[in-house]
Amino acid sequence: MRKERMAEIRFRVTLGIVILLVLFSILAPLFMPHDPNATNALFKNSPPSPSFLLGTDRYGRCVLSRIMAGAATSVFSSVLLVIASMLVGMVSGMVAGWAGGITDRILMRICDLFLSFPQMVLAIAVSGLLGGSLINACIAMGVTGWTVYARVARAHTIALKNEPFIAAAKENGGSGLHILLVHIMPNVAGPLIVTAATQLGSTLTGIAGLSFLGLGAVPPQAEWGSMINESRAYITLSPWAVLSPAIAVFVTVVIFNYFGDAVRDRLSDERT
Amino acid sequence: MFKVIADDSFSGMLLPALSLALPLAGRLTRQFTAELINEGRKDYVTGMRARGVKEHIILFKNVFRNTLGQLITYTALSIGALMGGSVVVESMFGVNGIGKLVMDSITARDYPMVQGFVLYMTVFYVVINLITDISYCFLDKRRTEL
Repeated sequence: MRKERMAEIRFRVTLGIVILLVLFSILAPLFMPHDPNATNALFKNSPPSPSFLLGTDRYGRCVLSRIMAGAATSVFSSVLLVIASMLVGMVSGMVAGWAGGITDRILMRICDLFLSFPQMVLAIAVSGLLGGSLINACIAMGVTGWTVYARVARAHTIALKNEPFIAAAKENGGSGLHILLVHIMPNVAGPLIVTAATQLGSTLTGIAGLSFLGLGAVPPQAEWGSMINESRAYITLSPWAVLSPAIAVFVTVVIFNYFGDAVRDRLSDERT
Repeated sequence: MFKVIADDSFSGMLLPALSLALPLAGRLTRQFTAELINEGRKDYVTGMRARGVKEHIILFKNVFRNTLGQLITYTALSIGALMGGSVVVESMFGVNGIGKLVMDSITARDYPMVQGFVLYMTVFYVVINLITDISYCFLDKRRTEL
């Protein structure tokens, strides 16, 4: 009883923090103290001061403003990417599980095909071939990302298909699409949300990693990974320009991972 | 103390290797702990405790052996993450490895090279998964098929 209560509290607290983080990533451009792309040769590599709270980088751009602008690209795009690949995976997995037969086989073989690539290796190649941009990096991550959700959705759809309430829905004359949307989707959504929540952290590191390699966000667009890459040559001269985005990535990933754990604990408690 | 720019010497490889290994070690530790706790809850462990078998014998001769298959699966599957991560780490420490090669060929628009990189890594990954599957038969003699 006490354990369940703790899981519930942890879930609510981490959910609140994640919602705050996403809101912050959307609203951050309104509160930025400086223009994130405005260069200023007078304040090149200047240490943290009251006017530049986290100092400036080698072009004299305010690091704090760039981190806030980077939140919009890093956090928001990874949340969007996870949701998008969850939707694609859910639809294809549900269709495969429901239809069965040849449709199921074709869809699952496509899944196996993408699963045989290591995710980051394919992402590096795809975004390298498509050319560097944040959208292309997201596509590259999503190409392999949806397979996880498709497999989970398919397994649960197949398990649900033989439940009495689905047979009852069929007897009532519900069409296939109606049963899928009204009866199966709400039951499949739970496990999928758990999977999505645990994937948030690794998606963010993936996008930041691609941007670090120069395959994601294009300069001068602010993104945490590319900020680390731009300033790492000057780490002895202005460590704040490297450490601030690195700490931002670290803290966000830790928050996302705690959130994933909390969601998993709470929803798996509910099932038993 | 340590070389930041990697070379073939031990101290040159230490930092790149550590930066790949430490995050992976954390993830694997959590999965191993969860596996061992699950196995430790089973009835036969309680039975052995009741018979007065020493804790370390239960842990190493029974619990550890029974979870070994799972542990090997986790380790083998995380090699895929290592391959992608090595590209980032190589560009960070300036290692002259396959990751630096693929980054150079992406900038040079040398697409066949990039395709070759993906093919090489994927074949490697698939072979490791195959070896993992085969290893189950050796770990658990009751299994007769893959």
